[in-house]
Amino acid sequence: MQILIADDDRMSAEVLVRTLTPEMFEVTTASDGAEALEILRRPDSPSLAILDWMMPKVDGPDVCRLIRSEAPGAHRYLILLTSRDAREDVVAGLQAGADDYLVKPCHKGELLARVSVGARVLELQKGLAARVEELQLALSQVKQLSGLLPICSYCKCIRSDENYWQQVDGYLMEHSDAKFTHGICPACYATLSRELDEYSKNNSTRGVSI
Amino acid sequence: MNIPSSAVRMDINDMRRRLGDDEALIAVLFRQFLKDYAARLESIKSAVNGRRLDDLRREAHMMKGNASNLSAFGVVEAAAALEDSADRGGGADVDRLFAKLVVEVEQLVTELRGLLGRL
Repeated sequence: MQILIADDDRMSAEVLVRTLTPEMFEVTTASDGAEALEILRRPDSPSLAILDWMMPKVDGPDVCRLIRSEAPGAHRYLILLTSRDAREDVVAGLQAGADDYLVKPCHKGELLARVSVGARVLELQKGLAARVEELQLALSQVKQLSGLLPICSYCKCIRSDENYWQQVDGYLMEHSDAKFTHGICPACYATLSRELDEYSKNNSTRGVSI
Repeated sequence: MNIPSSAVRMDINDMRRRLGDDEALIAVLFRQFLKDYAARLESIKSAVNGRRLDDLRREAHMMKGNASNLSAFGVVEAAAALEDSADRGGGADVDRLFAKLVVEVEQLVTELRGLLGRL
């Protein structure tokens, strides 16, 4: 996973880079907010960013605000890093669009734990987005049968859009994923048997064998 | 940031705990500070003399951040006081606060050189 570290303090950046790199994260660095924005606007930009609050050109909260407003649906996990630890600062940082907040100086264990949370959230978002895409594709392929169908009250044929009266089974097969196996129900079988017997009887009295 | 009120000016054990006993990283940070501190102090001095409060706030903040990475609470405290003073409009105490910061940094530099030799 790619991570952007944006901090003009070289010592802080060094701690972050040397903590995250051995954990198999691919780390990119920026030394001010404008550079961070430029990197985050690239098509293949890192999805997780650790942004210092006080940076030259554009500060961390403004980077969060701009990135969130430019791509509201993008899967991005933003962590603000700062020595400000007052509750109002935490609220302001989160309201600017940050997902999490880390207080300087960094504690290695806490940094890794919070980055892992971010990575897990991004994985879940990615999985969810892929599932939604799959479902949308499946939905687009399902033939839907709905609306008012004109049907003959006697023979039960359905009038198609082309004004053709079609057997109900044929119509349903054309307009849905349903398939039919044909048989005779017990009631119809009894009726049919009676009619056949009747027919045989009539023919035998006329000397016709069937 | 929680600055201990004790007389501990630099707590190497706090730094070790925070950085997972990564002695190589600790040495890198010591060297980085020793490389940068003189220029940083010079920038602060220039901002103090010129009463450029934005520059003073930024440079003092940077010094505070650098020192906090080293758990150097004496410098953190002195730099924070200077940053606060700049925030409040930089009163007459700016020169005194800068002098205090210089003393704290010099003590830290001596301590870091000693520790670096033992790492």
